[in-house]
Amino acid sequence: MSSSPNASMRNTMVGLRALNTSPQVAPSKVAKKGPAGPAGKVDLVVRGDDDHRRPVFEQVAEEDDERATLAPPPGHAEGSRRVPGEAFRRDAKGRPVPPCYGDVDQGNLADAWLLASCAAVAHSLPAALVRRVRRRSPHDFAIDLGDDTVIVTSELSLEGYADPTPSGQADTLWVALVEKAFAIREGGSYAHLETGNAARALEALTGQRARRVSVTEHIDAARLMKRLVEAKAKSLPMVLKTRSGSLSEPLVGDHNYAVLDVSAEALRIYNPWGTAGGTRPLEQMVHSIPVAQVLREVEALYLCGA
Amino acid sequence: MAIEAPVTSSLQVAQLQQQLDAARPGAVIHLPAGTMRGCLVIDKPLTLRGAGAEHTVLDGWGRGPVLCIEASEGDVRIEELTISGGRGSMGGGVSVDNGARVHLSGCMLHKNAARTGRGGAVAVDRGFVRLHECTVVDNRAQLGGAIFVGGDGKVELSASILADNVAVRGGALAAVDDAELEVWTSRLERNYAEVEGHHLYTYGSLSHAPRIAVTNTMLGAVDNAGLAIANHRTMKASIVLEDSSVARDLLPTHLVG
Repeated sequence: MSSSPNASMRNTMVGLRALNTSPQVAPSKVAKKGPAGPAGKVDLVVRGDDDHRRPVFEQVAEEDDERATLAPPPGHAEGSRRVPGEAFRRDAKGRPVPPCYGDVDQGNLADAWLLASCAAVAHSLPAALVRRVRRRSPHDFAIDLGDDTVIVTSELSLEGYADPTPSGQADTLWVALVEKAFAIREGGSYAHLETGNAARALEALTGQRARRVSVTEHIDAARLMKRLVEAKAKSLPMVLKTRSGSLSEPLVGDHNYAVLDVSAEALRIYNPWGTAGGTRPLEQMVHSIPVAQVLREVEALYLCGA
Repeated sequence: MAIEAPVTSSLQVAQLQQQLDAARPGAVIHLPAGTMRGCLVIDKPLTLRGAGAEHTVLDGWGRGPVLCIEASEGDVRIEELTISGGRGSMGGGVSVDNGARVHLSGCMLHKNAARTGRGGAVAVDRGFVRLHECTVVDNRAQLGGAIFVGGDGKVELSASILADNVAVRGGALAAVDDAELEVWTSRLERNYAEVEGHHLYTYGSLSHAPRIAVTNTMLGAVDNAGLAIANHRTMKASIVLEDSSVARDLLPTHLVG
């Protein structure tokens, strides 16, 4: 799963709201309140793409209606705004500046499984992201997720999901675009991103197979760390998923982190909550976790390309 | 020939983990009556056989998924035991993610949770899980209170009972993306979804649709309003209900593809 800074509170609120209202709501109305997919005049068209030999999914919609394709989770603001800019920054010579983990600032959606994966790939395989997130026209971008290509515009939710201008930085739309493309692919709903599997996100972002490595107090720690050190030496993107409940500082329960570095004694990880719109230093979201804490409080690690 | 490895009643879960690590592929490990508290990782094909679901209990104690099946090939068999008290984001009781084929038979999966995740009792995102003569009760999740099956997963459920499971979506079952789900000769009773899909919640992706077959199965009445089976409006799963009894008013036809 995935936590957002206020995910636990929101989950509670969602649960209460549903419990309080469901019995009184007729079935048809419940269906309308659910994670409705593309609605109204919006449609999805499948067509072949000779260049990439993969299907392309294009939203065929008047621009004003595009927001209708993506249902937010219950309780979230509806509506959207156009955010100007490019997916990636460019240097003085016009070359893309590689994305980095610090571009990831999660916002109000509990999709840390996805955004920690974005941060992990940005850190280990930034070129893969540059290849997978491309401007297609002045109006939209093409995002490759696994074998799918999803076309998205920079019309983004007003609720404040992945920050399209992390720390006030322009031309860093890639995280928000990837998040939106996932929402379109997953049943056309941001609500569907509130649970997920980092392994599938890593695979979609890199095209390489990912493996789950489960962690308990009783596994062979030396063997685990050796495996992680080897994975790091190969620059494999890695995501760490914590257990449920209250954990020791600085870990948060039921959350996902990008693994930045590995030594025999500790993991260095990045919390995708990021700078919260530039209100805290990025360094506060980078932590070093000793092996003992990993064994005690981590549920699994996801290794991409292992 | 399988290597049969009986264990003593005083076995602790740490010792059992060592035994699992040391076992040869194809080994059969017998668990005695009693409760073992902790979480286990199985990374090779083998059989874990209890002394009956009412006697042998693996209790996750809220520390993580009770059984993480890491094997990427071969068959893992879990037989005649109770899996309880597990907590995880992808399968509180049993988590299958790396392609294993897992057979659960004669098991009780009880009070496991993936409260903010998928599959309270069982989640399979890559691999295959067959539940035969299992009782899956009182589990909780955000998506798929009892069982979640995702993109590269397949679940077969036979001669089993799924009851009193709770989720935000998909009180008993959730199937998404390219999942396959087959249910036959089973009963789904009193499962509850806070938003929709008391017994089943399903949606596809842009390029895939889940395939669901329900045969000779009883889908019981639900106490609350809302859809018992919720299918996506456009990214629909293929759902076939055959020779099954469905409580009256549970299936608005426009939502069953």
